[in-house]
Parts: sequence; C-alpha cells; structure tokens
Amino acid sequence: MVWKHSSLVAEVRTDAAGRVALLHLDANQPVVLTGPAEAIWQLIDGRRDEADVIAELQAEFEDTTGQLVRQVEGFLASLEAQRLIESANEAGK
Amino acid sequence: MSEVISADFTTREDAGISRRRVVAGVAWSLPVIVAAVAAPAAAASGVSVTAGLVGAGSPVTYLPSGGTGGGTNRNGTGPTALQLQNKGGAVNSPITGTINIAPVGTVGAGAGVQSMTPAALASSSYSTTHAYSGSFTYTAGVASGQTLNIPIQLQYESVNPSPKKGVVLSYTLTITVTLPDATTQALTAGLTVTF
Repeated sequence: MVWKHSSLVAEVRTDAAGRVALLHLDANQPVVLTGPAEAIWQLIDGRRDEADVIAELQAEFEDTTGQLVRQVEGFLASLEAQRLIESANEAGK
Repeated sequence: MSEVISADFTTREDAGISRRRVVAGVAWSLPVIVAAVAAPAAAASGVSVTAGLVGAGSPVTYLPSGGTGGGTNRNGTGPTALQLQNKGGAVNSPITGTINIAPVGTVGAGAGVQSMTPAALASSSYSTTHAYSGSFTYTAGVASGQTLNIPIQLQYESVNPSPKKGVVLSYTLTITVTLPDATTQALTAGLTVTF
C-alpha cells in the first residue's frame, strides 16, 4: 500500500522541534505528531509503500522492543481512520 | 507556500527527509496521535474497544506459582483469554488493567495469573487469605477492526501444606481494563482448581 497525505489536511511543522500539527478541514480539532509519529508522517509521500516506510524507520531507529512493524501498521491505520492520509493508488484512479 | 504561521511554525516547503534523519540509532517508541486542544478524552482518541473474557468455564490447566518444575500442574476451569475488540480507530497507546482473584469462602491456597503474553504482567502477589492481585500492560496496539485475544495462563499458589488432594476450590476473577481514554471496563468470571 502506498499512502499520501490527504488533500484536505492543513499542515504546519517545525524541523527544529520535530513536530507537525495537522488539521483535517472537516474536523474541528487539530492533532500533533512528534518523534516517531512525525518521522512516519514525513515518509508518507505518495511514492514510498509501507515496506519502504518501515525499512527507513528501521534504519533510523533502534527498535529494542521488536514492535516497530506492528506499531507502524497500526499507526498508519489510525491516520487513515482519521482521514489524515489516503491511498495513493486509489487517488490516482 | 511560505506563509508564516507563528514564530515556531512555518508551512512545509519541501517533501524531503529532515536533517534529523541522517543520525541513526534513535530509540524507537510508540507513534501516537496527540489531540492539540483539550477535549473529552473519548472524542479525542476515538477509542471504541470492548473488553471481554473468552471461554469462561472452560477446562484449563493451572501451573504452580513457583514456575515450571516447581510442582504438579492442576486441572480446573476458567476463561482462556482476555479479548479486546476494536470497533474504532487504531489504538496505539498502552492498555492497562488490574487483576484480582478472590477466594470463595475459606481456602488453603490461592489462584492467580501466570502470564498474559504479549501483555506484561506485574505486581503479582497473594495475601495471607490467599487473594491474588496483579496488573498488566499491553503496548503492542490494537488495529482498527481487530479482535485481539490475549491468552490467560492461570496458576495456583504453591503453599506448604497444600490443600488435600482432590479438593476443589473456587474463586472469583475480576479484571478491570483501562483504555487509553481512561475509561474502564470490569470483567468477572468464576474459577475452580482441583488440587
């Protein structure tokens, strides 16, 4: 699966703090991503598939818990549930 | 797009990887979505998880509290798993809970929980009246739409002298599950152990 940022999401970010604030234009409450969540957001670009995203995270982070893959999959599902990301494949149809 | 939103936040102008990404070896931690303003927790998190006990009254094996090799396994009845059914968005924050197993009447040994893998068990102990208490933490997340069964391995309290052979002791298990939005769900089931 290849994901892209939803076109209905406004985004403000700061590299210095590693933080991004997101607001879906149909929502009334922004959310904030920091740390690994922000790193995942950066890697969602409409070109990388989930395996690419996971591979980059495994290269960047030291996963002592062994939970990285499952947690990334869950986090992507959560982003989709909140309509912050959408399938790049479907968007291109 | 180059609108300055505040002194700290500017709009994103590039889609590349940040400078931070050239440094490897940062410890991984659970990625979470954080609500930016105060709001009712349930609405902010979208948590919609229903907890339940699977197989209450099923034949199960009780391990000795001293661990494998520390005594003979006992037969009995009880639930086989804690079930978390997620009907909402993915849950990525820890789910915690407490476990209490109260004897029915006066008993000579208690019943407890040996493990709940992949949840981490902690603070397991027996009181002088053989009541068991413990807690657990589950951190691996529950995907949207997922029904997760966490197996419950039960144990009996190794005591000396042990209850007479063939005696059947009864207990009441209560598991209180706390979800990431701070809501709780209490589950109960009966247990029996044949010594």
